[in-house]
Amino acid sequence: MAMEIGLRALVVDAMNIERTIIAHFLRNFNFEIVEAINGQDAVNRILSGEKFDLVMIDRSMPVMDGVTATMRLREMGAKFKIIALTSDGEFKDAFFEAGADEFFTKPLDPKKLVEALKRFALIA
Amino acid sequence: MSLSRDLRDYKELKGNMMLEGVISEAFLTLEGVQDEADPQFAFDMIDLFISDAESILREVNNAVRDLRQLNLVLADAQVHQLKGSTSCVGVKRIRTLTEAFRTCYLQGSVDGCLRIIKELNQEFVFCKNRLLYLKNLGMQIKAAGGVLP
Repeated sequence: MAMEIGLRALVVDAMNIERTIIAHFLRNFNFEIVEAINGQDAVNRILSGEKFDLVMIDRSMPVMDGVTATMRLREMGAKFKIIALTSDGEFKDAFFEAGADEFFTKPLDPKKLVEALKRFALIA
Repeated sequence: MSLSRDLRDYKELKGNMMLEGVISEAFLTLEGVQDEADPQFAFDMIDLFISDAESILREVNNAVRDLRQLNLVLADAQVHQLKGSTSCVGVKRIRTLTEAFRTCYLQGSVDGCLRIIKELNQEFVFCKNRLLYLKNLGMQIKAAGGVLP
């Protein structure tokens, strides 16, 4: 279960199936889910004042990619945990340099996600 | 159709589809997270994959429809999206082609890109039919009160 009631996660991916699967996993831990279809959409939500505890983000998206979005979010002072989930393994270093807290390659491994959420103290 | 025969067929079909590269452990993971609230999550993801892939392939085909105005940059971006979504269900056959497309694209091989796009369309039809057959058989078993292996 989520450590606190009301934890919010932003799932950022251009593909419907990807967002649906990630959201399904996170809802099992009582996260409230908000979806964004690209990096710019994610940045706009933060700029508009929406609060999140976790962001899960893909790399390859139209308008603004995941690495750029991660960098922008950190520049804006965002403190939430950012987990990159992408099929592009070669962008691991780029994501960490941009400010991501964890990096996974697709397909999502539920066990690794749980380990990360526990490490971040987002779930018990 | 007997339930026991359907269950046998389902198990055999899944095994064959794993060998064919139409599904992988990723699909088994989706089955593993099904629960009472979402008893057919894996089948719903089959539908979503098909829907997403069809949309992507439409964009790819449009990008290369006019040989005088090929937009391989757009095609590459879309094929890359397809690569990501294939991993959700584990359609390795299509993933392999997306990687081959990227190689041709980076090498500047227009003929190679066009050939692979044609193969992608053909492979998608094959995989879609197999996935829908698996889903329909699974739904039939569930409707008859069976528990999927």
